[in-house]
Amino acid sequence: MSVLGRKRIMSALKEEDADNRLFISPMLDNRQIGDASVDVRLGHNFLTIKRGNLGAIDPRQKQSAPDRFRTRHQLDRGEAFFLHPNEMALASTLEYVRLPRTMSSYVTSRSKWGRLGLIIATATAVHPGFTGTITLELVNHGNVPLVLYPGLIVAQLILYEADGATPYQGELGLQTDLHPADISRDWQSDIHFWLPEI
Amino acid sequence: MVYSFPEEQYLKEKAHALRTGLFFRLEEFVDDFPTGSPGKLIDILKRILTAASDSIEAASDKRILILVYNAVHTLSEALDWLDNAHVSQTPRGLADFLDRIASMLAPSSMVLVAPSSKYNYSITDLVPWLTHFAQILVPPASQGSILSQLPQNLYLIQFPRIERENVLGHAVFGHEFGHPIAARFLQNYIATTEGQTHAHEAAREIAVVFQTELSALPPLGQMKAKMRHFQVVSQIHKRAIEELVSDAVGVFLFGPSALFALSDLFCQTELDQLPERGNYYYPPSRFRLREMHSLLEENGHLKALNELPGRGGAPLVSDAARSVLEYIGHLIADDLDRKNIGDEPHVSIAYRWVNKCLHAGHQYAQSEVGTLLYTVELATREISPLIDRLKMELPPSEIGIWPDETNADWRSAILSAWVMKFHQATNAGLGSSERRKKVVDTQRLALKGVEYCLLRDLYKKSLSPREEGYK
Repeated sequence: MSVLGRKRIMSALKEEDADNRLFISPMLDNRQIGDASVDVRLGHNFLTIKRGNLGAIDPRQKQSAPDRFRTRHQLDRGEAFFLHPNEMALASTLEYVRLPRTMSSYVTSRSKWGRLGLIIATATAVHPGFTGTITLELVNHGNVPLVLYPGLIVAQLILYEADGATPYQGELGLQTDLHPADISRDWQSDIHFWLPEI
Repeated sequence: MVYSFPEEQYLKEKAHALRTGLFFRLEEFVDDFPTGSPGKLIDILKRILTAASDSIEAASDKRILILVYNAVHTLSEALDWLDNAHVSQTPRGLADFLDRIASMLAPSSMVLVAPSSKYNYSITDLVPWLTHFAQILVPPASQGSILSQLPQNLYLIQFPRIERENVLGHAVFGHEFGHPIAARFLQNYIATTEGQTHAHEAAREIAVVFQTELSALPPLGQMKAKMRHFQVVSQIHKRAIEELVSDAVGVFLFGPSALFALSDLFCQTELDQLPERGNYYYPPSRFRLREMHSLLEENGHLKALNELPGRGGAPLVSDAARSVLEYIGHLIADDLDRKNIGDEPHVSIAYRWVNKCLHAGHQYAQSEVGTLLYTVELATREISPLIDRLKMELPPSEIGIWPDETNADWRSAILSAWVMKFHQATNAGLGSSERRKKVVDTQRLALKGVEYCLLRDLYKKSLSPREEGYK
């Protein structure tokens, strides 16, 4: 399983066969293609969880009206989002990504931001054949608030060759915006064994 | 009757309470808006309300206080628009493309987009409304500083809330932006020699068509009757021109998407309803579709769509486009609307008058649209590759392969999605829930495509020369 270097990334972006082509769009600046990664930007939308009246998130219980516990922030270019110490927020990449079946990725902070305490993904894997914007889980592990703006390059994709994969068919694909998942709707078919009724 | 109750003082306090009530409701708008326009409106309203305090204090007449009270009451209508103008109700892509149209058709204008519980698409310029209330509520010495804050136009654009996700249907807004253009055309036309001639010809027709009725009346009665008939005819004519020229603007701005959006809207209405007072003299829907179809045929858009190539497994998508055009062609071939028009004397006189000036209206509309015209060359170049992108579940925003990709026109994003939607919605090979999912996905991809097209355009324009080499 080899990491794709710059030349291989560029050749994947230019691939004639659309089924095997890597799509990262919009690629506003070719300098986003690094030595062995592709920088991606923050999108316009952020989502935070309101603590009040939310006891716990329990996979046993379907969340009713989950938007009651969420605050969506949709920022214009130049508008600030403040991520406070120990706070988590969902965001998404500005870019829409389509990985060919022969490629997978993980998304991670760019080092500069990582050193300030910004984690951009707690669930980092991007599966072969994934199509959509990538939801980022932003966490501030630093001691001071971080100011984030739409368009900032805070994350990067590390791309790998994938062998024998089937295209991603999960519920988190084909998103065009950040997507808060509902864990009570997980596919896990043996959930009732692990969470018996009281 | 003499009483000691200080009525004026009490009315002043009521006016102040209402004024501050509205002021604080405006302060409560903390949600994010997709553009700066709601914030601008809030700012102007708060300035007017702040200045109104002096007007209330200075008022010495109960009637002025009642006027001020009612003015504040009416201003509070803005709360309804602002309540829903925030981002969870108004998609950013929609606000962006409406802003783009407004800024090109009317530079220095702003746009406030808000869904409405009513099933109606509308555009209203709030500047005259705000000016009117500023003149009532603000002391004369302070009016200048507030009125100078107003943009040239502040368009309130409303759409049915239940259609929020129907991005493709929002091509109807081309028609809405046409209304100010149609109004200007009418104003100019009426003042021309040709306009006056056509009006006199209509008056002469009235005298002939209603001769039997008129000849039974004394001279004064004849004059009154002629005026009454002329008023009806000119109202029908005016409404027809307003709607038909606005439809033309929609076609010039959006191409076939305008026809598809309007025909979707009309599928829930009666197509041949005669223009009458009860329906505000609207032209029959079938008539409007026919005119739009004819314009699209003239400018080559229909031929381009009919000739959409299939490519490697793609013929089904382009077949759907041809099938829809055939269906609309079949709809407009039915002549019932024209027969109804011909059978009613006022309407038939009015529509003969419409025929004399509609072409000029189309030419005026096209010249006003200017460089925003959605050309058939653009559509021919972009629709097929964008359909290919939609088939790959990508936003329809780019043509070509990196690093040579080019930005598509955002109208092409919408048109390609329309073609895809027709294919998906009628694909007998899919189950109904799968068809619905695909149509919803196409709508979302279209919105994303529009956002990307506008973003790339703005980004490219903002690049400094030394950075150009990187892209």
